[in-house]
Amino acid sequence: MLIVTNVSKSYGKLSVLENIDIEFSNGVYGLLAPNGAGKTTLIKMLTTLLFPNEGEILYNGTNIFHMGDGYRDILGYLPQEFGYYKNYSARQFLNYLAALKGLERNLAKVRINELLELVGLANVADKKMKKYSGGMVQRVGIAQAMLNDPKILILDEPTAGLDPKERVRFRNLLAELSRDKIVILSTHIVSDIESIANEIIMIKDKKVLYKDSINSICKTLEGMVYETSIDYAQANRFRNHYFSLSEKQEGDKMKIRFISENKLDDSWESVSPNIEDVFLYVYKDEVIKEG
Amino acid sequence: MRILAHELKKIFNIKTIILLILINIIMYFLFTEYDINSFTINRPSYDIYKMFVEMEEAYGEFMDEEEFQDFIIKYEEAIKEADAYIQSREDFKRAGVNNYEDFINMDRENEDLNQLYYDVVFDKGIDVFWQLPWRKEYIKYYENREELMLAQAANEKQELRVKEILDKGLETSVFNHAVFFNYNSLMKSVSTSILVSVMFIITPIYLRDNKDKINYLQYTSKIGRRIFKKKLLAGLLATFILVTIQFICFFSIYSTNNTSMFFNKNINSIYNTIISWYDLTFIHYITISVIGTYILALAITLISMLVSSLGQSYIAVIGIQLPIGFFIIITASRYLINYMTSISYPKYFLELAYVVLILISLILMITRWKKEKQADILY
Repeated sequence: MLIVTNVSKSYGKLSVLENIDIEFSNGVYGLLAPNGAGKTTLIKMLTTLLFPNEGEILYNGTNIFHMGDGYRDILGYLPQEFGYYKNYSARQFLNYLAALKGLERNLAKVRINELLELVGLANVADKKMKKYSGGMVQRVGIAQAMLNDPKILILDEPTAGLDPKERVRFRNLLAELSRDKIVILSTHIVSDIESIANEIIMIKDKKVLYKDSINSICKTLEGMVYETSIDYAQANRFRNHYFSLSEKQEGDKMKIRFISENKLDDSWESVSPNIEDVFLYVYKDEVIKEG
Repeated sequence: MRILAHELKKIFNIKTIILLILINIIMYFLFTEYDINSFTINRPSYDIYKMFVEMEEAYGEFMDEEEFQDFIIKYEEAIKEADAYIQSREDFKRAGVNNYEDFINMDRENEDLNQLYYDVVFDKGIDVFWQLPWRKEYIKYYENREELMLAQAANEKQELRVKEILDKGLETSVFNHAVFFNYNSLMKSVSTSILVSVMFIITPIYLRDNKDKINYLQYTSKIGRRIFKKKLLAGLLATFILVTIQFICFFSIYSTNNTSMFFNKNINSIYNTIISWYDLTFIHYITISVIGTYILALAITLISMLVSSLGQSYIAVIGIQLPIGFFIIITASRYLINYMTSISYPKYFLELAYVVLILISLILMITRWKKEKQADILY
């Protein structure tokens, strides 16, 4: 079990995370927050790249920074910015990382072949990576994270740069890989984790806002999400009164999905909230800023 | 070991090797080639060299009084040879020049006589006319050796050292400035090529991985931040390999200058331009200069790695690296590689300079490693 206890992190005077408490047991965790909310900072602490200013991170009761090699030996990590040597083939690069991960040479050879097969790169394994597409490179990234058969797999924005088809492929791959592991998947793309995460962690205002199952988190908006059709002319006025979650054109009308604490009109249809609704509502200030 | 091999492979990648060869070819033709090719062409240095080869064969390691008398006889024989040459030429007879004595006292303001001088010395390049002034000079050196040696001492310590040399009779060593100057000149350019090459291969060592974010993967793998030390070791090993290869190439080329007969000759000779604090033979001196270059190369490796580990872009790193490298290369070629152990510098200057250089680079790198162990990896 991986436990984050009362962890705070700041860069100089800029506080990024405050008093974070999270427990991870086997399963897939979706770390969901807009860019800049502190996801990568948390992940970098979980991967020993950053040191917390306060608090500690324990794996099976031992501080991960004291465990050193022992902790990193059970860790697989795909950083948000996955670096690689352009002139290396996938096989060469995985061989290099296998050496860094302390895998015995023969074992590494077998494992690399298995993983290249798994991520669908076996037929291009000896081609230089500079010839790979973004999706192929990302698959090498996933393979390297899996090299040491980690007990903790941390993936930071793993679907960045992937096309929709590759995203689906990645989700399926992850579902397959995630048995008997702690998988922490950081993203700001809701659909990436909607179908595979056992629990979602949302960070807001430097703190953990939610750490719960998707259903439980969605229940926080139960009875508040509606859909209705309105004239385009009314759209602006409507948006001023209610928080719009999504809008689409339907004939000469606009179908709008929105938040309201009460049902004020019979034409409004109450719908089940999904995690994207919660995300948009929770981070509405950030969404507006980003928009 | 596997990681070290991987890191070495990264340092010596094909592109780097090709560029390294190109850099060394350019440096060779710009700075080294002249001292290799000119040694057997340049006059009078090659005449001096030939004279000393002859002396070495005849007298061995030192020239004693008896051998000096033989040297004087050889000088007189050379004068006779020059006389004979002059007398064999009608144009000299017509000009009233009948022997070598007349030849050196010719009025060179006179166009015709000057023309004759040029014809013998430069156009025909008759060897004996090149050797004779130096033979005469060396006789004077030998006769006044104590006085000349002592004149080079500028303070009490230097004087004591000169007296020590004179007591041991080292000043009569059959060694000369032509070979010594040529070697020093070559060593300056070779050490410059070595240091430039080292900076070239070492600079990307941390920078490339940090810039491309491969450090995230390295620092989160089992080896963790110890990769920093592995890279350090790989860098030092790469430098050692590179310097060794460059020295093998250099000494293979230098062997064509054919100076091995002087290897066991003491460098503190009246015919040389250095007085050393130590009783060094030429091979000792060569060994010291090689060791010195290895130390300089390893120090510049540590400093280059330090800069490499701090920078975030090639431009920034090169901007810091260039002035440091320039300073070290200039200082090295002026004081640390050239005329090593000379009494022109305080006795322990060289040792101290090298120790300070090693200490500075080691302390800087150890401090960097300690920081790296505790640092947040933000980029």
